[in-house]
Amino acid sequence: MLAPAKLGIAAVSALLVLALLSPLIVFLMEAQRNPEGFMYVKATARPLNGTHVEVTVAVLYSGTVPLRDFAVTLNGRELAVGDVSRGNNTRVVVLGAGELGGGPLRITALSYRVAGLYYIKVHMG
Amino acid sequence: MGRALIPIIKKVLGGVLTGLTYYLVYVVLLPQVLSALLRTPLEAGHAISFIALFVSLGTAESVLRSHPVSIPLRAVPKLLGALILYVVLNGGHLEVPAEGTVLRTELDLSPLLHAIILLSLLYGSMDAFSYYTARDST
Repeated sequence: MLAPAKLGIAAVSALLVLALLSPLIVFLMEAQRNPEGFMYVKATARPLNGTHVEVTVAVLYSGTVPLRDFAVTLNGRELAVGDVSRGNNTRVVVLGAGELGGGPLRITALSYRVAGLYYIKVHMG
Repeated sequence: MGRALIPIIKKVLGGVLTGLTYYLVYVVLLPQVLSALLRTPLEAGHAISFIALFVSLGTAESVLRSHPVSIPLRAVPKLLGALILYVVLNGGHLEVPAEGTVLRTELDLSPLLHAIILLSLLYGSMDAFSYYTARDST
């Protein structure tokens, strides 16, 4: 009596695992197909006044899988960009002048959740 | 005597096949698919030990199918498979080096792993429960 139910659960399990994996598969395939232009992140800063700077983080993303909770680590400080979808995504943040330290802006890590599921953090250097 | 052995041999062969199937799904297929996808080596190792373990559990379950001891024996291979997968995937937390670059990527596969564990539990429980339905129908 339970044999059809067991078979059904096995089939649904396989489909569910495949469905859960599909955003990651699509994301990795798109990244491998176009490694240069898949994602471009740029951060610029301009002084607002003597005490604050305006930091603009632009994420140009050509993938089809939405990325949730996108964050950029800039000079050791993590800045939340929010959700990123295909196209140009920009976030402007005002920070205290000393919060990014001295020297040029340097992106040291990117983090996001692929389709809101799989957390990925890319460390640079 | 020869005829009496045939059902036992059938049960043993069925158990061996069941054990090999669980071994292939949990220890070979799933890690290999993820390894190819992430381009990072993911291997359980100890192949002979795992094959022996799954085959013995499968055979025991098959031979003792009509005995109450088969209730846990039906659930254990699925849970064991999920546990091995959990260990192979380091609890879902993987570090993937990018070849030829200074990039280092951390990846959290725990949502997928949790789903596999949950589905294994569900399937294992259902299989264990099928002992009662099989007994009632006889």
